[in-house]
Amino acid sequence: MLWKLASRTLIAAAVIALLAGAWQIVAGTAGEKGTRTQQVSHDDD
Amino acid sequence: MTTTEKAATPVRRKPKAIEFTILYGWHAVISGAFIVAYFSGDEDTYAMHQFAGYLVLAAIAVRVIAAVFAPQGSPLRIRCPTVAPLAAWLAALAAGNRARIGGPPSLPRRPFFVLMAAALLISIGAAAASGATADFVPFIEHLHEALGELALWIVLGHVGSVFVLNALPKLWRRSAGSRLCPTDERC
Repeated sequence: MLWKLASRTLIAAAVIALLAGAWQIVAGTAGEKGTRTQQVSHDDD
Repeated sequence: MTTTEKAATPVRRKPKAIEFTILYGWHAVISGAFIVAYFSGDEDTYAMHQFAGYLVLAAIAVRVIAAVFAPQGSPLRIRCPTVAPLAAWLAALAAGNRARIGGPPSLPRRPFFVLMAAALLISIGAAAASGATADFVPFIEHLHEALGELALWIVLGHVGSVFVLNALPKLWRRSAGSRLCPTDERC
């Protein structure tokens, strides 16, 4: 039971990492890079 | 009331298999998203961090809504932790009372799990909500980082305690067996 839960968690983490990675690529192409703090400092510049 | 009438006793509703499937599926999504969010906080993977963080926030919102609408007795409901049953459970744990804390014949670990679920929902929810707020109010960022670290320790405590509580009955059984048969392992 525990191993089933743990394996489901890891599978979900892998799938979410793939989706988030795809989102990272899309956001990267759109020019959204860096942290919130960096974005704020760029805005200040 | 006549002698043929029975006293009104609360009928305990049997949880449905689909409710456990939803619960375990939700557990996989939120834990997977939390892992990704925690490890992607770096500036190079910031969009990943936001994606996973908003997924955590959405999962908590869905869980709270499901708890509100779930019928009485459903595993999808969120129970409020209370001190007295938890204190009794801890006392039983300290006394090594297997019947009360999970040895065979099993059970009730519920007071501890209720507290753990509440602590997890609050800490992870606070971390995710502060992250979303920091998108609009940047000075919240440091608070978000601190809440994220706190949530990680609560998650690790959750994982550790689940494994320990599942291992305890086996250890007790083994120690009981060695007391009964100190010389012959196969007896």
